[in-house]
Amino acid sequence: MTFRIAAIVLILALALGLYVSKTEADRARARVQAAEREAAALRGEVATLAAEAAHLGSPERIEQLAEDGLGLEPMTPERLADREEGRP
Amino acid sequence: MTALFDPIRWGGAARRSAVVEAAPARRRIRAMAALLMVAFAALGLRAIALAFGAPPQESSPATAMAAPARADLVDRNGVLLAVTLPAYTLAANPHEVWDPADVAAQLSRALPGLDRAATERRLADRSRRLVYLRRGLTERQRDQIFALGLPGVTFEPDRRRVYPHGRLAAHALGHTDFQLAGVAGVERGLEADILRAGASGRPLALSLDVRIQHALEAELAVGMERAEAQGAAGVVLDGRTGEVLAIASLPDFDPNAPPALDAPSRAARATGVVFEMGSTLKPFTTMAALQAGLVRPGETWVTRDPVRVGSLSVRDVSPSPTPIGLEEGLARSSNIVAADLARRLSAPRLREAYARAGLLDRSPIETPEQPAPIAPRREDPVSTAVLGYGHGIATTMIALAGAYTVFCNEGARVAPTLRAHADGDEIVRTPAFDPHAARAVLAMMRRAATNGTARLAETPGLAVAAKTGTAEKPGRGGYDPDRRLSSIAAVFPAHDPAYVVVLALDEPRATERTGGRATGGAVAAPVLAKLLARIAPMLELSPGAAAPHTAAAGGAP
Repeated sequence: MTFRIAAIVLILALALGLYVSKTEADRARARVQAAEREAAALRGEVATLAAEAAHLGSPERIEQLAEDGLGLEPMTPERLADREEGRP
Repeated sequence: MTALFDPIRWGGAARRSAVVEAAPARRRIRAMAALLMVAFAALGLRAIALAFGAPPQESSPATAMAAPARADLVDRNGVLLAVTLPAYTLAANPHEVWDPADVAAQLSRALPGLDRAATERRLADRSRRLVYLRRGLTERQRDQIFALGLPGVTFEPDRRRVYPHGRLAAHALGHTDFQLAGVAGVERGLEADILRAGASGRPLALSLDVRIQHALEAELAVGMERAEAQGAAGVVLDGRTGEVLAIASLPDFDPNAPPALDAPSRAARATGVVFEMGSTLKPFTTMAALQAGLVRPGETWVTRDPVRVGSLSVRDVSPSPTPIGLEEGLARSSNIVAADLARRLSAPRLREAYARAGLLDRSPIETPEQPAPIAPRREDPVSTAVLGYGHGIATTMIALAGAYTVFCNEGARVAPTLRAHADGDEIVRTPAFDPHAARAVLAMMRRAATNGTARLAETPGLAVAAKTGTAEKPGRGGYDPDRRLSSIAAVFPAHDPAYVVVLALDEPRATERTGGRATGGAVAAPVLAKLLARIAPMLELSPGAAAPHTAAAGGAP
């Protein structure tokens, strides 16, 4: 009789343990999925920002800004000198 | 069967029969209990199944988004050229749209370019539960429309290919369709590589350099405007590896909103159109003649008067009053000398030399729109003579640039490529000409830049070797003297040849600003000079170094 009661208690305990761990696994899976979704969204955002940065750093735009804002112009050969030859 | 609710029995009058009646009642109760037990057992089993069974697999949107990943395209320095961004498709359920006219009006205000009448018609189509109105919306556009609060209007997640530099290198990059499949340019030509790199999450590096690309496009645009040309094109090659550092065709287009494939701006003049190149092919005639030992040292030609070849009168644009040697012949771009060398070689041998230079094959460049060169097999004296100075053979500018790599590799040729060269990649050098002949012709082209037709291409201290070309385009009933392809092909620095540039203006006009001439030397050579001055520092060549006057002026550090 005692043995039977012990066995029933053990089975119930194991069943409860299995239930708890399954529930926990479900929650973890949901968290992973949420994190994956967030990662995908962030990757999209990173790509968007990278595209925007590339657009802003486009040579055409930089050249326009340098010309309009700083009065610079494309370099000409006359403005270059070799370090050795340039030294007085 | 007695009725359970018999009023007489419940009244207690028939107590005698109660014991007899109890047996069927107990049976009924047992049956009910059994039924309930089965039901509870079913519920319990279902509860256990839900608690312990495997959860239903839901597809994660992250993996759905990643389906056919397309790698980003970057230039040789890692600058982003093409990227796949999250986008949204604007959709609507016509059953939930109250006022199609009003919704269409609001949408077309938010999205310029949306056809208002067509949108209204589609929104009013009650036979459908879902209509797609516009693909490839940015996040910002989605938020903007979302803020309008239009009932029935929805958004579906999607992706789109974006080219952050707009028109830069449009023909080379090409574009994709809405399913993100490559349609033109390397997007199509390198499709397999792009998908492979995308699967491993890496960007695909192209050989282009955005700085040089921009300089090329800017200078071509200036040259095109100056000569009032119909179009312009150019290629800058690393002559040792074959990498295309810049390649441009004007007019161009914005790959973010590509025009129809047959629009005039879609013509990729650098890779997708064959031209008769004219005198830029003379170096190959000269090299073949030298290699075959058909020129005696010190030999001269008289170019003062036109020379008759069959029905053709071969004349020089700038005849010399005195006999000229081979070097002077190339520097002055003498048709008479080139025609005579062609006669000595014979048409088959000359054609074979062009073939070795890669001019008679489709270029292996990774853009799909490659026409085959046109080179009819004619061997009569007239055809042979004109073949000597680059007529009767039409090829692409990229093939010409590839041919000029023989000057950078001791007579061997490398194939132009848009793929970035990685350390350890093997470079295939195809021997084409004798190294001595290649060096000799390079020196003659250097002379063309210092004293000949390519004088305007001379860039201080950069030692350019160049050959100009002015070819009349075939028109109705022969060549049309008013429609020309004026070009220049250059190798630099001449003492250590490493780079090849080919530039051309399509149908330039002789204007006041071009000195009244529309030749390669007048319209293409100045573009080359300005381009080289700009890109030399990017190539870590110091154009100022060899020029004495700059050394004196450069005293300040």
